[in-house]
Amino acid sequence: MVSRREFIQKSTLASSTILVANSLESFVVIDSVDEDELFDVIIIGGSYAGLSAALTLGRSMCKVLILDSNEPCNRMTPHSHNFLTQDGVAPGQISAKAKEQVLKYETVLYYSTQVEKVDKTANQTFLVHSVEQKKYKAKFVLFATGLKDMLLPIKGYADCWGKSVIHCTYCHGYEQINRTTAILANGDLAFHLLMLASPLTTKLSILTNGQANFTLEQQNIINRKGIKIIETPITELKHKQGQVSEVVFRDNSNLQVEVIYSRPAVIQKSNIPSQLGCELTEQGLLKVDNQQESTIPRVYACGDMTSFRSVATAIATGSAAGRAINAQLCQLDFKS
Amino acid sequence: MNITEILNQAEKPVLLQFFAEWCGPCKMLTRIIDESVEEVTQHVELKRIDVDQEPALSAQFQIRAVPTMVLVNKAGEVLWKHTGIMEIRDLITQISK
Ligand SMILES: Cc1cc2nc3c(=O)[nH]c(=O)nc-3n(C[C@H](O)[C@H](O)[C@H](O)COP(=O)(O)OP(=O)(O)OC[C@H]3O[C@@H](n4cnc5c(N)ncnc54)[C@H](O)[C@@H]3O)c2cc1C
Repeated sequence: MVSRREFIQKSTLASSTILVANSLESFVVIDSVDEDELFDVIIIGGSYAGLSAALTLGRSMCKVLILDSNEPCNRMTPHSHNFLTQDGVAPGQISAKAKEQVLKYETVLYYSTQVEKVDKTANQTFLVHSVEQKKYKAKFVLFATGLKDMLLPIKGYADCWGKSVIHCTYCHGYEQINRTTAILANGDLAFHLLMLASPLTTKLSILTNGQANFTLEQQNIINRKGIKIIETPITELKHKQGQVSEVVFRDNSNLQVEVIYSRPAVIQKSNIPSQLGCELTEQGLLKVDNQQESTIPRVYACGDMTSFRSVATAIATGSAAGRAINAQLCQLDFKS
Repeated sequence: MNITEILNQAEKPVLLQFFAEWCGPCKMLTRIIDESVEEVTQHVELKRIDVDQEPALSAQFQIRAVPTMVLVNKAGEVLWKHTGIMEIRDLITQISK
């Protein structure tokens, strides 16, 4: 029998040729899990947070199944920044390396599929259903399904998202230093983004895309700094391959810009945790304790869906969740 | 299809190329092999096996990922097994040993 380790090694050999850029794209794993197999943990979502948890769990010989639909939220962005050792690296490259390292652990399996439903069963296990109608059983479930950005319905916005329409100054602000910058937001959020963008450029304006909604104090500060507020609704972002050049307004006026900061609303990418009964916070994040356990026992969550959005935080909370679940598994083992 | 039938009809060692219709890397490997199919078939008989159509045969050779190539001699012994895409030169080297 060819072990998973051999798979990885062999495919890595193949990847050293000019043909294949990345080892994990050189073959596809066939789902051969027996329906009766009981996993210690099923991780739903195998991006940064899920893989980080799998690394910790795999190193403790936990039987882990990762089910991932491979749609990380940062897939549109060409480079990821502000994560030590991987600054400026393409997101796909970080996750390919992560998968390569994590799947070396013999007890960790990874399948590309989408999870449709999770049921609690009478005997303290969870039944995870995939869209292919396969069922997998586990003692613990860890959600790492991330968030979904509700992109604004403005022509050109989606094309520029992650490239020149940016949600976070920490991730991509440094690359935009001194550029002509617009803050596309209103109220407290606009003021917050304005503060964060101020060290990076003086060429700033605020686009509220409708009536401005600032406190008197905020308004005074904005005026004092000489920053223009444009309230006219936006009809289009003109761009070339995602690089924005011009904002067009409803009255046909326009504004030349090089970068736009915009943080659209987010929702949980998966509503399965809510269906299971997990509570959300007021901000719409999944409520977890300091061990990353949700309000339902043995259901954990990590990454964007619970915490500040960054690759570093996703990896940190994933690692913490892995540790906490393993600790619980060890305790269960010692009791019986 | 079973392995005995395949081997009975073969005059050379058989290269079983396990693939799936839905698998991108499998298509790529097929393209790579097709470009040099004459050279490949000088050394082996090529037999393509769809894992979804032939679950029993796939299980017999413990195929857990595709594409996987298995080189089997007339006696039914597995001489070599490889998962993933590879360069045609490396493949020819393997099957001409
Ligand atoms: C445009 C953009 C640019 C960014 N740039 C940076 C940056 O430069 N630096 C930085 O540190 N951070 C950056 N971030 C933030 C960073 O991408 C996230 O913090 C990080 O991806 C969170 O990781 P995660 O594993 O929690 O979720 P994600 O990476 O979003 O992954 C969630 C995974 O769960 C899977 N999934 C969801 N539902 C299901 C289901 N039902 N079944 C199976 N799988 C499922 C998804 O397919 C996906 O693979 C950026 C974010 C965006 C949107």
